[in-house]
Amino acid sequence: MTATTVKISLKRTPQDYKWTKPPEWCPGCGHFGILQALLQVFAELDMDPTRTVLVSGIGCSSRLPHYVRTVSAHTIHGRAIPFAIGLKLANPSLEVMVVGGDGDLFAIGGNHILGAGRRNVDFTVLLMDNAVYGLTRGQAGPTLPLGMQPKALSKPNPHADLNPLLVALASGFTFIARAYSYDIKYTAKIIKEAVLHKGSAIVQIFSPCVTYNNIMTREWYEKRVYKLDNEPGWDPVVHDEKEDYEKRKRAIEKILDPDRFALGILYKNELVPTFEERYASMYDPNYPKMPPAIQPVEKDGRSVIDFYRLMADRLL
Amino acid sequence: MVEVSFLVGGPQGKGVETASIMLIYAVGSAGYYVYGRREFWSNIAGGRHSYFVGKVADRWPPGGIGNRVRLALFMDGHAVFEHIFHVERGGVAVYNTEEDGKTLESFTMISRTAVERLSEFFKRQGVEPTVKGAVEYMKSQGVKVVGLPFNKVLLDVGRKIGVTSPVMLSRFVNTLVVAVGASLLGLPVEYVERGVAFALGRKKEVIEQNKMVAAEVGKLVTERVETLTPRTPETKRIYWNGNEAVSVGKIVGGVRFISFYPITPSTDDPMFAERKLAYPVLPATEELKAMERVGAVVLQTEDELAAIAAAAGAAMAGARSATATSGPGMSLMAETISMLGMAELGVVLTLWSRAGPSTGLATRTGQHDLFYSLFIGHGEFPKIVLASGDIEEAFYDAIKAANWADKYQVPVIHLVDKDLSNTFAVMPAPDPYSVKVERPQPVVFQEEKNVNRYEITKDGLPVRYLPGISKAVYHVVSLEHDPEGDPDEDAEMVKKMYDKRMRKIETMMREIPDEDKVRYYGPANADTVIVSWGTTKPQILSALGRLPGVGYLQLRLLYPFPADLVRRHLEGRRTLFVEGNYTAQSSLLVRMYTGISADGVAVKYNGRPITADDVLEAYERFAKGEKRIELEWDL
Repeated sequence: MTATTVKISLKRTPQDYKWTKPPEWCPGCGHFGILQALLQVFAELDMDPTRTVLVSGIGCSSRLPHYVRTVSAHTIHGRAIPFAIGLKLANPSLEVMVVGGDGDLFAIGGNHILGAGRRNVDFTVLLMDNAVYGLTRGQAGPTLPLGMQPKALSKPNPHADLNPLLVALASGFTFIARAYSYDIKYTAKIIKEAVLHKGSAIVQIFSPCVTYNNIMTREWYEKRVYKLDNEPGWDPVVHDEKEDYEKRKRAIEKILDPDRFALGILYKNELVPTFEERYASMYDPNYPKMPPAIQPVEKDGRSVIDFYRLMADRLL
Repeated sequence: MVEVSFLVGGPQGKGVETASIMLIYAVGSAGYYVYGRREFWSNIAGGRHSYFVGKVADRWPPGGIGNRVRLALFMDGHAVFEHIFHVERGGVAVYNTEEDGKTLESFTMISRTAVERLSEFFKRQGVEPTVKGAVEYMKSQGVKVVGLPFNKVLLDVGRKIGVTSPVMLSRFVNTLVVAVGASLLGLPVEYVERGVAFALGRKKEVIEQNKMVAAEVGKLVTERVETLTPRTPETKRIYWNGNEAVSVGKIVGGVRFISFYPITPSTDDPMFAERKLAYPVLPATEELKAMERVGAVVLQTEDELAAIAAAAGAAMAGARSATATSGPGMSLMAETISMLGMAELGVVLTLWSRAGPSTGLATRTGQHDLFYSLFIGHGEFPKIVLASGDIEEAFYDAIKAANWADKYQVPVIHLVDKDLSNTFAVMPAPDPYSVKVERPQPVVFQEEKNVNRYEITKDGLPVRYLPGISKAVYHVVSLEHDPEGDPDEDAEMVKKMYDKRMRKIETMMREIPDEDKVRYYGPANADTVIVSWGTTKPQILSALGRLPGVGYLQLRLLYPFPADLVRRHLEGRRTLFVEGNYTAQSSLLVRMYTGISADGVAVKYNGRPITADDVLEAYERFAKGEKRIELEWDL
């Protein structure tokens, strides 16, 4: 057998990324589409399940890693992003993705979006947005519009919604995109682009909650969404730093549209150095080759650090 | 035997710290050992008072810091008032005579409480409430006072070295007091020059000017407190502070991922690790030989929630990871600490404890956080809490903490405090290789494989798999789970997993050496044992020298608690618990685990550390029958 045929015969299928247990979401949940899209992307990119790490917080969406055959960490509410950043910076050769809901990522974990954008670590955030807290039975999420009253609320929502992609853009995310979970093929296409992007990527995926959000339903979304791919001349990519201001402005215009929700890539800029690149250039040139998780720290029980050289300026 | 206690005090942000470093390094380069601590307000250069109190000796350790010093160097009149009771009979105080006429009231940065207290005192004593009056009072108490007109001296010196600007001249006040101090200590000027060069770092011209100031000023003083003849030290020595010693301990212990959010008094720990990047390595392997230096990720995060979560992520990736914080920051970390317990990830958390509650006394010490460290995090899970007693112990403990976090996959809280963080020392260099770095090896497969990270094991430890290294697929999880790492609420599985996790406690208790659990000092048959934990150690050991027949039990491993060992040491003895909090927490802890009740407790919670004299006072009052002794000294 030649090397090429080995590779072809081993190429994984979406089925290969299914874990041993089935999903536990409500029948019809939008999240099924995202899971399906993700499995497709993993297969298309033939991602190594032992090097791919899915990190989640808490909520219905954060259960997703349990249905996927990759390494994963199902952490605590709101902390998936800093956990993922620590993981990625300790070993930048890993493919790290965060999945979570609007509450997890933009309410309890909101500050970490701001921190992540400023760093531009090379990882991907999938925001599974249904505007409600499903797992605690339907309270208002941070993306639920003001005055809306889905069935679990006893009064209309007194909070206004925040715009997650605007926040992400303002924070410095260098890939901003949107998808819609019932359109699995398109969602897969966008997730794939996000994974391939060099830098911090976020994809807002509208993912209706069939149990608690009886207003922002499939019909509700489908009246509003459209694909940017069909817009003549739409090019969200910053090809030159001079274009950045203009591309951001155009992205913001789309992101702010209250009536029509653009699906597709809204902004993409790979000219911004990633945190890993910044670290290598500012702190430690050996970082890409010898990051924290890979370093030998002892030899036969003896620390590899040369204490006397390290502290040479302090020895008397 | 040479032993001199000293104090340098002045307006914060105006050179007190530099002066202290100059003096420490000067006596250090003359072959002596030094240690002491910095006291300061939560303020930068707004005029509050700051001081350094320490001890020089011809041996290590130099002995305790008492309630009064033999040599006090006051950079301004404010310092005279602050330390009017802090110089011993026969000791020497240096001050600026040009401030003689200044009144107590005119120093607006003295706490109003102190102004009222001193005014009352001066009235009672018939002392004029001025700098001169305060100095006269000190003289009446047997203190020798060396008064110099600082500005005039500097003007004269300035003329000789070509500096005339009053602003520039005022910057020499730190060197002036150090030069006077060094003269009083009989230290040749060349050592002062070394101190100056070390403290001022790269500023060449400034160093030269200060050296000239030192040389000129030194000639003005003829009195002597002591004669520090330059000597050849017995051993290789190191100059560092507590923050730095712990920081370096972690680096030596293999920590390569450090995340933090700024908070006093912890930040100098991660910042030292950052400043020292990249770290020189021994040519242990061909690869390291070629690289010469290795890096570490030192990450300032957006908050403490992120700091510990990032450290947890890095731990999962296989890096030895650590974070450092103080009480308020650890509050934000609580939920993740609990997750580390459940998910079984090892992170070192250095807790630089300070006086609380809430923002409390951001720059003052306290041992308020013992229970807080033991019980932080909801639910029950194995963790380690280790308290270090002094700077040397803290260095070694940092290495051990890194080992244990890695080996047992639990959160390890290394409990230290503000007192230690700002303890500066010239001391024997530790043997950095005396603590073995024990790195458990991950399981690595040839072929990709699904594995159970939470296999039920006998010793309770998880099998070690690392992403990208093991060729294993597995799930890490914060919910109760099955061996595969997926949520499972089956009653039988819940109990099995719970038991498995808690078995780590037995494993840790079996493997952690006794000397890391408790240390006992003094006669084996002592009738009375002083029990304490943390940084009271040097002061208690010093006091013990004057308390024949009294023992001292230092509690080190606070969780899991070594009940049997503690019982063995305390059973049938009279116990006096000495610690820096209100409720005498360690006495309650000992009672909870051993049933042994304290015969007496001595507590201090005014933001100041327990001094050696405090310990003597505590014992004396205890011997007279007092059960609860509240210590109040303010140095």
